[in-house]
Amino acid sequence: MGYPVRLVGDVTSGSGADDRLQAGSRDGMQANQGEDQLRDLMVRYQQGDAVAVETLVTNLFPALLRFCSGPGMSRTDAEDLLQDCWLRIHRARHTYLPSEPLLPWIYAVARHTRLDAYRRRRRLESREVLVAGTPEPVGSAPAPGSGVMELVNRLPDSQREVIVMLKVVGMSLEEVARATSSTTGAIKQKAHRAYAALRSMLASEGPG
Amino acid sequence: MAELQLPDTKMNEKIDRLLEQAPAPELSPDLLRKISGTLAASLQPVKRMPSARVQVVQFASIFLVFAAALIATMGVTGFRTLQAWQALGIVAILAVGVSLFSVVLAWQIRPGSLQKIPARLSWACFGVGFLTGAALLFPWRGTEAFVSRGWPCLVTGSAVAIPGGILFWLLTRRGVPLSVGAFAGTLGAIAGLLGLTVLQFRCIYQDATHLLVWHGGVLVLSITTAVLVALAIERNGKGQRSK
Repeated sequence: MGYPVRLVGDVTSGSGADDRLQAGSRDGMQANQGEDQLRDLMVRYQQGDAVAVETLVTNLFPALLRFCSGPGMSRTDAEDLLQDCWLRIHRARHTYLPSEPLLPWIYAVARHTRLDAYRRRRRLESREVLVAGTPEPVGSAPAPGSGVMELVNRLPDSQREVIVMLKVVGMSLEEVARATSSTTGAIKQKAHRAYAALRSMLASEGPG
Repeated sequence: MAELQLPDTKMNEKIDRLLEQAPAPELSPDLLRKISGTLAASLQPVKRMPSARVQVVQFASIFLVFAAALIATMGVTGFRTLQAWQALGIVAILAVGVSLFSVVLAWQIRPGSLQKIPARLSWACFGVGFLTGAALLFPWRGTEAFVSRGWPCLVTGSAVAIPGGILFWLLTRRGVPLSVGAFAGTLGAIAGLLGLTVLQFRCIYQDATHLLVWHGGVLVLSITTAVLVALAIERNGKGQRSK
């Protein structure tokens, strides 16, 4: 199964890049239909429809799992984070309004879950006492995705999440701004910086 | 110019192509079942929160009612000493503050809101507006008995801000603030504004220095305290969860 909403446009630097960022980030009508269906599922979820919950979880699973995974995280870590994320979505579901776009609401909660997990990890790491010869983690397979996603995972977290939301999930600039409590200008800037970094990584080693 | 940008553009197209081709993570049926099962177990119909617009009106109305009740109780001695243009100016500044903080508070408690003004910027904007307004509208008199006249205002304003903050916290309890600091600061700002409003009507020392330091101080103190308390509670709660 693919992502619920797939992006076809491009993000580029230089003149006219802003227009392309804004205009070409969704597969037109198909994306709108996808968004409408997701909103309908969410409304039914709020009404207590168990089938809608399952369909919503299934539809959002790949993109959310990708979003929840990151550098240095195993698939198990990402799945734990995904579960935590759904619990928070569940507890916050009354705050969603059908007149508003759904994906920014979902990703705002998911982003907050990731940030919390990151801070928790940092706190735990700061309490750990390192011993000589730390063993290699067993079975810590790289995060889902390969090739270019590995390069994306090397970006600073603020740029990585923007690229994933814009290009993998297929959200518009305004939606990403909503999800990150930011402005569209700041999102454009992060996307441009991320693309510049990806270009330089690709030029030096290629995605494989 | 176009030729110079060509390599970047081609590279960007390549990145887009690669991102499109990136394989989606495999579905894990067990995990899907587990998540769906957990959510379905506590699934009940929920009553949606009102729209942001309705909430803004609610916050502003409650502010006005609460402020009116406090002003009626504590008196309008200070306001009577003002010239019409001074009264009009300060009421306009306070009205802008109430509207601004009500809007920002409504954004803070709903995930995915398009926050056209970041919370911190809204506090700063109002602070600058109040400082400018007070500096331009009110006379600069001497600093005679500056502290002895000032600190009772700070205490009174803070004493009003505390129940105000609790009231607005109760009103926003159904919301889900994602940034605890921004939410608490805005809560502190609206509570501090309540204290400031009461002081503007009550206090007889309506000169610029007094207003800037002691009345403005209520707002600063209220925001700072709210942020610190919220961060301490959050840290404490998370610390206990991670044990």
